[in-house]
Amino acid sequence: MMAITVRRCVVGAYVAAGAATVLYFLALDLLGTRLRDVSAGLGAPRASLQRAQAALAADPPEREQAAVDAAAALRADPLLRDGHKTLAQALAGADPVASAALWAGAARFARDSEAQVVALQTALAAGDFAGAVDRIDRLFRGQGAGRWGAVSQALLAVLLAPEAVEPLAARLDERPPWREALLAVAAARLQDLDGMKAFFLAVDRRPNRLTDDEARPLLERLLTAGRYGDAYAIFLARLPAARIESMGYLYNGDFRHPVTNLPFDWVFTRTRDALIDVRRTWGAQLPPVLRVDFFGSRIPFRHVSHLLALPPGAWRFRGLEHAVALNNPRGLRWRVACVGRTEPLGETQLLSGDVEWRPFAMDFEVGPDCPFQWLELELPARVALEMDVSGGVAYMDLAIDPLSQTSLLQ
Amino acid sequence: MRTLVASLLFIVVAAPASAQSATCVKVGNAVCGVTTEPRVAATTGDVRVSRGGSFARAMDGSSLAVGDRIFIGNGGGAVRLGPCNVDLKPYTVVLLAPGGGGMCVASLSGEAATRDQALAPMQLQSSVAVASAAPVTLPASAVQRQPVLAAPLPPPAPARQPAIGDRSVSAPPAPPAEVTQAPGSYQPDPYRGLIGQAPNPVTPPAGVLAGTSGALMAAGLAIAVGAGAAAALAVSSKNEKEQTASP
Repeated sequence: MMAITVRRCVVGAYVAAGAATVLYFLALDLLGTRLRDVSAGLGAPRASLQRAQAALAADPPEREQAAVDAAAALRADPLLRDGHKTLAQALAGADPVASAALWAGAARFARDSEAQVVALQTALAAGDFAGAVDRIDRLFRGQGAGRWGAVSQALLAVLLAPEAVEPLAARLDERPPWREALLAVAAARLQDLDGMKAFFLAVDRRPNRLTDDEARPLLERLLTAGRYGDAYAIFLARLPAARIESMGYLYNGDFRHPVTNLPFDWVFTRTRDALIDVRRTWGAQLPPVLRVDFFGSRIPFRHVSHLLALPPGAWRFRGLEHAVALNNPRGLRWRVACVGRTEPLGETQLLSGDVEWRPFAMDFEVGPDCPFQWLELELPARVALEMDVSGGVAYMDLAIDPLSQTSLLQ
Repeated sequence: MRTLVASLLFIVVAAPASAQSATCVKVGNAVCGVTTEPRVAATTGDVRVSRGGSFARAMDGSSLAVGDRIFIGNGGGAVRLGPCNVDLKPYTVVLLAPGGGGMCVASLSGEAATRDQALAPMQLQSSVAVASAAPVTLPASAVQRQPVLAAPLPPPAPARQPAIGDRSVSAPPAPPAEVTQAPGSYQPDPYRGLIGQAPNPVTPPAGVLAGTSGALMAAGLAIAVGAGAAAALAVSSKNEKEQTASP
């Protein structure tokens, strides 16, 4: 009897478990149906927004219908991406105030570049340059350097207006990822050279000064415009105090400082036919040496130069030279000439063959109508055959000393 | 009365200019004053004087000599030529030279316009060109863009069966439709927003799928449980019969 009772209990438990399982899965299925309804509800605002966007894209745009659909989408989901923007576009003609407010709302989406452009435009129109710089930062942070290439000349001009320069320089001082690109675009495309100079100098006055690469376009633009004096002043302003107080008439003539390739320092122009560099012998107490090695090809060599600002007077260019199997029909020489003129003020004697270290010097005279001069190392080839060159040369301890000084304006 | 007012206005407006021209003389691109002891004055920043090629810092009252170059860095300064005070703008280099019956300050520049700009008495306004503060009107294409979602996607590339020994690289995916851009205008990224903007509203969440399949499983389980219960009942009744039949 006991066994029968046990078996009935087991059977009852089986039945109860089965019923519970069925009820559980039925409840789950019911919940799934409910979730499907919820999902369909979530998709409704997006579908409504798509209808609004399609209405705006129609030709002619159906702005009223677009406004109705976009408003419905926003009512269902106030944080719907592109919702504010679409409604702002739909209301652009009918209600400019509401449209502007909606654009401001859309601009809260930091990655919505279209909304950021409108916000930038609004900030500039209101003279809010700090706000405009904020928008610029949002627009270009993380979007890559290429974006700046599409910035219009007018926008650049306004951004670099005197009132905007300091906020922009302050932001650039934080080294945003778009700093280099903005400086490059400004240097290449800004037509107002004085505005460009003011902007670059504002950046240079900040703790994170312009690097040599960032300053080079400004100096080159000034030279191209014939404003050598401005370029010279900016070059001087960028030198450390200790260096400007001991620079002499030929800056870095002993190659003690790294060559910057900036005007008024040595400029080594890259070429595949020669290797130009400054070699330092650490620990040997030897001064740095300028080496030029030629690879045996034909090259119209004028790839080492230095811009000078010598006052009028008589001068001597001197140094030490050395040649190793320098094979060329003529040889190498240094040449000084006034900027913008072809006739030389002076030339050194030609160097070729094998020459041990020896001193050299060249005297020349600078007139009052020659405020800036070029010093160049050149291969004075008269025909193409004379450009074939191999071997190498080296120079050290270069300097320019005054022999006398005539007065200006006399 | 009108004549009197006009005369007074002329005196008020012209007086400073007369005083200026009386002390400073413009000779070519230089400003000259009658003095034999030119000095540095009103330094407000980095002002240096070059003698011998290098630039040494100058203070107010530092004496100058013919041939000196005066460099004004970040800040400002002036050169006093007797009664003539020549203000110098930041980031300029000027020369001191004899002329005009005294001493002259001339800008060290290759361009005449710059030479004039560097000399403050002739250039009262800042050299920075004041750009118009008028709002910039961006092109309509930059602001009113066609909705990204409405742009048609490129057609899928036809599948190609590779031949044996075919080492050619499979064709790259077709690029997105090219977006025309007005030159010099800012164009928002046409590809931005394509990702994550078109969720499929008919795709049910994973829980719903689980629920549907769960119902099928429940049905199968119920059948299995029912069959088990029936078998148990059958065994139980058989055992009862055997017990009742036994003596």
